[in-house]
Amino acid sequence: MTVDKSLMSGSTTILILKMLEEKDMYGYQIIETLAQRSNDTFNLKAGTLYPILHNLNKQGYVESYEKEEGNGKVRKYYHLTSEGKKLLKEKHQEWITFSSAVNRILNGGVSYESV
Amino acid sequence: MNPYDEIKAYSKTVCEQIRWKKAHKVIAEEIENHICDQRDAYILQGDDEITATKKAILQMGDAVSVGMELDRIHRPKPQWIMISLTALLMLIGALANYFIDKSEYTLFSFAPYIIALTVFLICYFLDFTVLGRYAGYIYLLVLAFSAFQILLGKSVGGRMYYSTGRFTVSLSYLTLIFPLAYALLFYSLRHMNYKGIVLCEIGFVLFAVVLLLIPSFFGFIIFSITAFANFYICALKGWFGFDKKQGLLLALIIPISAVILALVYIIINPGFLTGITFAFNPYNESDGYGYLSCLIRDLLVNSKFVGKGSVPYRFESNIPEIPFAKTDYILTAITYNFGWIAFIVIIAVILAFSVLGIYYVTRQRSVLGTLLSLSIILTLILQASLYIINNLGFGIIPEVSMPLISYGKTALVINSSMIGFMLSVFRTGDIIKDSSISLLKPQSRIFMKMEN
Repeated sequence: MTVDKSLMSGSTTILILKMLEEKDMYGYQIIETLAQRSNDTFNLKAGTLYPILHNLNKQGYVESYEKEEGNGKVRKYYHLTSEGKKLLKEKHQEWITFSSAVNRILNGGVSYESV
Repeated sequence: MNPYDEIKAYSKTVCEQIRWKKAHKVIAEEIENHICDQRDAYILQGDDEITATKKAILQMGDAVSVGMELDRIHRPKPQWIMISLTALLMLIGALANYFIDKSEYTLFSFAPYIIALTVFLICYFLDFTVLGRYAGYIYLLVLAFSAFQILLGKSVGGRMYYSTGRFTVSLSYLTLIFPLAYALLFYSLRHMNYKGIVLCEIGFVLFAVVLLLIPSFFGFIIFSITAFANFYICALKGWFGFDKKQGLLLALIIPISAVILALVYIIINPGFLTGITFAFNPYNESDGYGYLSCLIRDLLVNSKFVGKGSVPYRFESNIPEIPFAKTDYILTAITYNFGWIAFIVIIAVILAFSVLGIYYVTRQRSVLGTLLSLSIILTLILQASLYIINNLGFGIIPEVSMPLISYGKTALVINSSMIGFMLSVFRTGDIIKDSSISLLKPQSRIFMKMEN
């Protein structure tokens, strides 16, 4: 099922941070993993990913480094910093508050948590 | 258009939207790599190369929009606060020198400050990676130039000077570039593993011996501490290819060899130890070794919070003159003439500069940016600290300058250019990738011969 892009735009950063919390990844790997984990619901365009990644890098939430792969290809990996971990925690909390509020309204005052 | 050219054309369009040209190479490389990964995935799914490339480019999104987004993120960081602090220190220096010795002042006396400011701005706007490109050459050039000057220089009042025509260069001030040149040697040898360590040690001993021959013991202390800090950071970050523990142990060769060299120097020059004794107890010989320190302490005791201090009791009605006030004791002279408030203001500016400088050094990601900025900020902080200690009456021979404040054209120009380079690192260091700096390696030829 495809999802309206505007629904995804607010949550892209948290999804990217979550991917990097597990392990260091390069851009293409982030998109692929995200698509696999969401059963292709989140098909992030690379043109959306890189400005977000570069901005997070600039703000110190992620760090980048280069690593040579077995085939001689040099890839740019992104690593979540301790500040990035804090940001993820905050965003996660924000998301829980937001989504449960939306759910409460959609379910006529009953949140999914209480169902 | 062949498929790879299409990828290149896409990344070119993205980069055309980014005004900061320095960022182009890094961004283009990442985008092209991504498209190639995506293309390979489509090929594995059964597409031919042309179709796969087209689909991969389509997946990237509109090149102009992506470029515009990246343009908003990638901008050089103008260092307005650091530039203001640098200009403020220069202004304090020019005014202090003028007020302390008005008689010798003409409009021409401000020329060194104008030259220093110009040099500073040139270095600030210069691409600092040029130093990385010629790293090995710069080290060898500085070494050869210093050795040449030691042979031809003359000792005046315990200091070495080299004169040619109207120009006189103070060798103790010239050695302020040793930590920077050594950081460049580090940079150029970082991939050589154990050989690199051995060559770094040789490089350290050569500079250290030059410093002790001048002699500039304080220069030797600044150089040794900075060299150790460079080695320590390289070991900590694994830039020499060793694991952290092994690297940190190897870093100890710098302080060990520094202590050995210092001991040899003290054994050869026993008078140096006497000087140190009097630095702590100058009143034991207030008319000899300890004269200057006693005078400084007396003047500081009689300094007011605001305004000119009173004449120390032992001088009766004669106002004492501080020898070498402009070069070696400008802080004491400022404090005595204008009060402790002036001293506090200067220290506050130096402190703000140092703290901000250290903060920006810790934000550097590239090896070259880190080593360069670390060696420069440490040289400046250690210089200022030793100068302040001397000016509080705990000195022997202050062979260092107060960055940008004390008189000394060589030191002024060297310090200004180093600060310029450091701010150039802070301005553009974010986007610098060590792998994109093509190294011209004199060491690979010279040192390979040694290895053979």
